Amino acid sequence: MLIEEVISFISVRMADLIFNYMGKTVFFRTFEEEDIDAIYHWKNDDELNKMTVGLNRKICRDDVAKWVRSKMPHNPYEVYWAICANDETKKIIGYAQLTEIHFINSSANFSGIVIGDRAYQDGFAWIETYLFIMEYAFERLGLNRLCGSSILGHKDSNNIGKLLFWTKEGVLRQAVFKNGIYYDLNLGSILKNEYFSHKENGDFELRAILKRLRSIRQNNK
Amino acid sequence: MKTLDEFVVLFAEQFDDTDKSEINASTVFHKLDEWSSLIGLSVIAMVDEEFDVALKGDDVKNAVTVEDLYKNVIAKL
Repeated sequence: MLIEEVISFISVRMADLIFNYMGKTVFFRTFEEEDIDAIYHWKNDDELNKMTVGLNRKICRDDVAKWVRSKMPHNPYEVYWAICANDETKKIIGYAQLTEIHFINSSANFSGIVIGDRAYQDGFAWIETYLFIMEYAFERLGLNRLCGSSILGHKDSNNIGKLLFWTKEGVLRQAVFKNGIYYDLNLGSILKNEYFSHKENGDFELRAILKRLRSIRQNNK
Repeated sequence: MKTLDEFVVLFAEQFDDTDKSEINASTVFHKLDEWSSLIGLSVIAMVDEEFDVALKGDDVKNAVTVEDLYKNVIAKL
């Protein structure tokens, strides 16, 4: 089979998989035209973007619309999801992305989660999205390695790594200029065998996660 | 059973940077600057441990004040 055929096969398979994944409190779908206004609002929300890795700059609606539309068609090398409330509203509450999917290295970059709607910053949407992305990467795409980065000092991101058994790989010193200062960047990853080992151990069950979070938070204080 | 005042203290302990005096029973907690998914999950974890109550997303989302959340917890005891 030619590599193009393999990629085409994988692309079709991924397109099948990314639609209508239903979780408990959220579900995931590809971007739609009506998502543009919400995403425009979040991309220009200074508080929301204060400690994210990406640049914090004002973006006009036309540029956001182009960006959203560019992420609608499925792409074998990256996946963008609208995170939607699994309640009567069904509205978009944020978005998540898996990028740099590499089928030879069997790896991908978990490029982040934005829970833009503050009413849904209850922790459930956040943790469920994280678990979904790991499940998607390891169980659906069959990848071997998932990596990511976060600004040192971004409490949510720094704690989620510890909470979900990511291994810290290193620090890029003063790698991100934001809020008038340079921030160090944490690099972390989790491997397929680690993911399945913890899953089989029940470590990704909500009760176990909550217990571990209490412990991590108390150790941090 | 813990009182509302005790719940407010436990709730406030989940925050790192917010002055504890800013948080009382009538605080609209979603509007606190430090409120985030991590703090939300920490509150759920605190309720799980201190009250043995499993909150759901709606319990947190629909509560406006700290007292509302306390009432949701008590209703599940």
